Amino acid sequence: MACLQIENLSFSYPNTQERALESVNLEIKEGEFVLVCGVSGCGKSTLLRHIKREITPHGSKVGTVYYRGVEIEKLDQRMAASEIGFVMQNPETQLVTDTVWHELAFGLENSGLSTSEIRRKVAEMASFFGIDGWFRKSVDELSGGQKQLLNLASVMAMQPKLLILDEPTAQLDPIAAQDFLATVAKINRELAVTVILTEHRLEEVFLMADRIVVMEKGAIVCFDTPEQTAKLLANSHHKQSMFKGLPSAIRIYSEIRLGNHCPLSVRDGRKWLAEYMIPVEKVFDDQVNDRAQKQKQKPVIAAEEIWFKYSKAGNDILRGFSLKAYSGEILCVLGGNGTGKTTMLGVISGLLKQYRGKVVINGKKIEAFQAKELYRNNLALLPQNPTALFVCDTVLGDLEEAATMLRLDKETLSTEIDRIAIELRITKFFERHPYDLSGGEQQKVALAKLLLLDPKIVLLDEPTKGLDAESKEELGEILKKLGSQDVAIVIVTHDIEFAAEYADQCAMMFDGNIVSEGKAKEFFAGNNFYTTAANRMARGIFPKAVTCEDVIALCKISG
Amino acid sequence: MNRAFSSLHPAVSFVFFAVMIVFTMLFMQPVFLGVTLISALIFSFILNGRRGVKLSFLVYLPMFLLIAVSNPLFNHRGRTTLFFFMDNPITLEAILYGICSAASLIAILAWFSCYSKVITSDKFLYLFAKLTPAVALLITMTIRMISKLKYQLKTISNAQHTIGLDQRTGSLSERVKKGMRVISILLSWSMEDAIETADSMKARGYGLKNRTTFSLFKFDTRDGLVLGLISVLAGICFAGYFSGYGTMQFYPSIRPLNLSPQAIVLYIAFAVLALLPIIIEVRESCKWRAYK
Amino acid sequence: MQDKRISKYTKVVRIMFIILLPLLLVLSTLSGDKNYGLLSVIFMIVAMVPFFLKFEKRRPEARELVVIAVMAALAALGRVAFAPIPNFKPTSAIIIISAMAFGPEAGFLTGATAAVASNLFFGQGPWTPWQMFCWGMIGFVAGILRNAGFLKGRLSLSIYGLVAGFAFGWVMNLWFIIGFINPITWQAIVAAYISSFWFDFSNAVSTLIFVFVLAKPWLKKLDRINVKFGLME
Repeated sequence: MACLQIENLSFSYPNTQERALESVNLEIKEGEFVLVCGVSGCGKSTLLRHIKREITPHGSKVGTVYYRGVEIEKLDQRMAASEIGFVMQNPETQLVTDTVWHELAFGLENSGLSTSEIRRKVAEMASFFGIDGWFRKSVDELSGGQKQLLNLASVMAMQPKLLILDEPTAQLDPIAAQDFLATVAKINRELAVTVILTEHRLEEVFLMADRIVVMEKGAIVCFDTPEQTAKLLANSHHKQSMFKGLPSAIRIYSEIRLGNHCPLSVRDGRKWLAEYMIPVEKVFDDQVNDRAQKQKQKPVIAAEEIWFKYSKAGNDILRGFSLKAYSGEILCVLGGNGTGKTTMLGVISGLLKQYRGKVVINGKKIEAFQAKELYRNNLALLPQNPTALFVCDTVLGDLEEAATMLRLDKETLSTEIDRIAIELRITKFFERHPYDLSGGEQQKVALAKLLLLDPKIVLLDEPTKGLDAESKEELGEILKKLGSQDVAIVIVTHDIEFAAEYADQCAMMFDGNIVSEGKAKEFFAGNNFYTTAANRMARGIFPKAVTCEDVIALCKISG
Repeated sequence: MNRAFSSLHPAVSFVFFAVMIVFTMLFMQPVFLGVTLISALIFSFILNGRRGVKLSFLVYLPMFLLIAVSNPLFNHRGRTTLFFFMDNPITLEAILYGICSAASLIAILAWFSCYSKVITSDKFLYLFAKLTPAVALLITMTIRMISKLKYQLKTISNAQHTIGLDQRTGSLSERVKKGMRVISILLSWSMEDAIETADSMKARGYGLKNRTTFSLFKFDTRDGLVLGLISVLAGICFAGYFSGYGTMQFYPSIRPLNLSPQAIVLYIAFAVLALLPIIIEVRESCKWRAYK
Repeated sequence: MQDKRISKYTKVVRIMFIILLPLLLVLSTLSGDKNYGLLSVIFMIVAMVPFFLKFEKRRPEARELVVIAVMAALAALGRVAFAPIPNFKPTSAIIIISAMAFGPEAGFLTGATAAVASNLFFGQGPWTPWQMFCWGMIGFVAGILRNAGFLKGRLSLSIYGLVAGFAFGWVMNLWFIIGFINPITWQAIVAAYISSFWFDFSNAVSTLIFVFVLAKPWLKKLDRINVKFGLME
C-alpha cells in the first residue's frame, strides 16, 4: 500500500480566484525520500500542509488525500497527530516551551502518554540525535542549527511514519544545514521513515532523494528519479524558472549535452568533464569596474586594526581586524559561524564600539559623526531579518512613514519613493501588508526603505538567507546596479555561489580577522575547499573557472 | 548551583517554604520570630553567598528600622510610656510590637528570597501544573516568549539605530515616540510568529483529549523522609499554635515569656523545623569533605 | 453568547464569596490575633481559582495560548524594560489592550500571567498573588466593559487606563496595610496612601499615556491577527 496518495487535489485560498493547487496527483511509497522543488509561490508549502491535517489552510478544496489508504480527514485524531510529523522553516517560532526536555516531551504530553512512557521515548530520541548533552538546557542557549535539530527531534519523539519538512534549512548556515540534512537522511535510512522535503538549495539534497517532484503554478510537472528529473529539466522549457537553483553539474550539462548521463554530483561532474574536455588554463577577468579602479585611492570605509569584545572579561571577537571598501565596489566577506562577521558589521555601522583601532567612514572617524549624520545620505545597514524594519500595514505606508520619520520633504518624497519602487520592482506590492510578502519581496521592500536615505554605503547581513534562486538573482542585479551608481556595498554572507557571481572583491574571515582577500574570481580559484561547486568540479580541467557560466564558456571552447 | 536542599523533590521544598511562611505570619512572639528570622537569613546567606549579606544590609536592615520605628509613631497603645514625641506618647509595648512585626516581615521576605532560589521556574511550573496544567503551560510559553522577544527587541532597536532612529538619543518626546515604534514592531513581529507557533503546537497534537504533564522530578525515599519530618514538626507547631503558644499579649502591657516545659518543647521543634535546610546543607558538605 | 459567559463568571465569583467570607471570618477568629496578611494572600489565590478552572475546563486552543503568551510576555517585558523608571510602565496598558482585543478571560489571563512571569525577574513574594489578581482584574473588567459596549472611544479607554492605574496602586497599598500595619488605624491608612500618592499618580498617568498612544494602532494590528487566525471568519 502506498504511504501517501493524493488524488485530483485542487485548492484555492479564500478571496482569490487563482488556484494554489491544480489537480495534483501523487503517490508516495513507504520509506521513500521525496524532494519537492519549485520556485517560491509554486504551491509547495500549500501541498505539504494538505498532508498534515491539523494545519491545512482554510479555503476551497477539491480532491482527496489518503494516508495508508485512509482518507486523511477520517484518520483517528491521535494517529494523525503522531504518525505524520511536520517540521517548518523557522527554528525559533516552532519552539513552544522554554527547555529542551520539555520541548521533546511536548508532543507526547499532548498524546496523553504517562510519565514513564514519555521518559523512555524522550531518552531514545535524545540518544539517537546525540542531544543528550543539552537535555536540561534552556532553549535560548542553543544555536539556530541546534534549535532546528531539536524541532526535528521533538517531532520524531512522537514516532511518525511520515515526516514532512517545509524548507527546514532555509534559516540555517551551510554547515548546520548539511548536519540537519544528514540527520534527515539517517532517519530515512535507519528508521525507514518516509520523508517529503522541500528545499531551495538543491546542490546536496538533489542527490539524497529517491524521487523528485517538480511543481509549477500549483501543478506537478514532473515526478521521477533525480537522473530523469535532471534530464527533463535540462531539456524542457521548465528550465527557465527552476534552472538557477539546480546543482551546478546539471546546469553545466544542460548547456553542453555531451554524453547520455547527466551528472548530478561534483564527483560525477568532474568525471564527465574529464571524459569530454581538454584542460584550459584561461583566466577569467573580473569585470573590473573602472570607476572603482579610479577611486581606489580613497576608501569610503577604512577599518584599521580593530579589536572588539562584548565585555571586559570576554574573549576577543575581532583581533586586529582591518578592511577597506571602495565606492562602486561590491565586497563580500565570507566565513563560517562565529568568525566575527556580524560583529564586524556592527563595528563599521557604529552599533558596537571597538576598544582599540579606528573606523573611518568617508575620511571621518566614526566617533566624530552625530548619530543621525552617520545614517543620513551616508551609511545604511540591511539587517538579517528585514521584518525588524516594518512598522505599517501596507508597503507604501511603510515607505512613507520611513520618509516622514526621517524628515524628508513631502514632494521629493513621493517622487523618490516612486523612483526607487520602480527600480526595485515593488510597485505592485504597495497595498499589500509587508508580512504577507515572501522573503525575497520583504528583502526588496526593506532595501527600498534604506535607499530612501540615499546611502553611499550599503551594508548587508546575510541577504540571501532563505531566498530562492530567482530572488537571489534579482537581489544580485539590484546590488550590481547600485554599485554602478557609485554606492559601496559590503555583504556579509555564507553564500559562496552568490559571492562568486556578484562580488567584485571577496574576503575571507576567520578567527576575528581577514585571512585572505582578492578579486572574486582570483579569490575562489585560489581556494581549495571554500569555493563554488562549479570550481570544485572543474578543478584540474578548468582551474580558473569559478561560476557555472565560466565552466560553460570554457566547455564551449574546449569541447 | 545544585545544593543539597534544592535537589529535593519540588513538593517537599514547597511544603517546607509554605509551612515556614505560614508560621512566620501566624506567630507573633519573640522566640519564634527570632528563630525564623535567623534561620531564614542564614539559609539566604548559604544560597546567595555574598549577595545575600549585601541584600540584608542594604534592603532588610533599613526596612526593619523603618517598620520598627514607624509603629510606635503611629500607635500609642500600651501602658509603659517611655517619652513623648511631638506631643504623642511613645510606649515600650508599641516599640516591642514594632520590632516583632518588622522581624516577621523581614523573615517572610528572606524566606521568599530563599524560595525563589530553590523553587526555580521549572519546579514552580511543575507544582502549578498539578493545580492547573493549561495555565502552567501558558506560563511556560510566556517564559519562552520573553526570552525570544528580548532577542527580537534587540534586533529591532539595532535595525532602527542604523536608520538613524536610535531611541537612546533625542528629546524626551522623540525618545518616547521611537520607543513606541520599537515595541509596535515587536508586537507585529511576535504576533506573526505566534501563528506559526500555534501551527507547530497543533502539528504535534495539541488539542487532543487527556493531555498529560511530564516532568523530570522523581519522588524518592529521601524526599519521603524529609517530608515526614516536616509534617511531624509542623503538626507539633500547629498544635502549639492552636493551644495559644504562638502569640503573646503586647497591649496594654507585655506578658512575660512563656517558659513552661511544653513551650520549650515547642520552641525546639520549631527551631529544628526552621533549621532543617541548613542542617541538610551542613550534613552534605561534611560528607563531601569526608570524601576528599 | 458573551453575556452568558459573564453571568457564569459572576455566578462562580458569587459562590466563592459566599463560601469564602465566612470561612475567612472563622479562621481569623480561631487564630486569635488578626492575621489578615496571610488570609488576604490565600483569599487572592482562591479568588483566582475559578478563572483558572474555567480556562482549564474549556481546553483552550493553541492560538489562544500563543496569543495570550505573547501579550503577557510583552507586558512583562515592558515591566522589565522600564524598571529604571519607577511606576512608569506599559504593563497595565498592554493588559487593557489585550482585553479589548480578545475579551475578558484573555484579559484576566494576560494580567495574571504577566505578573507571575515578570516576577521571575523581580522575585516572587506574597505580593505575587496580589499582583496577579490586580492585573488580572484590570484586564477582566476592561473586557467586560468592552462587551457591554463601553470603552469604544480612545478617550473612554484612556480614562479607564487612568482609573485602572490608580486602582492598581490603591489595591496594592491595601496589601501593605493589611500585611504589615497592626493595628490598622485610620491615621496609618491615610499616611500610607499619602506617601504612595506620587507613585500611584505616575503609574496611572503612564497607563493613560500608553493606552492613549498604543491602543488604536495595536488594536488594528491585533485585528489583523484575529483575521489571520480565522477568528473573524
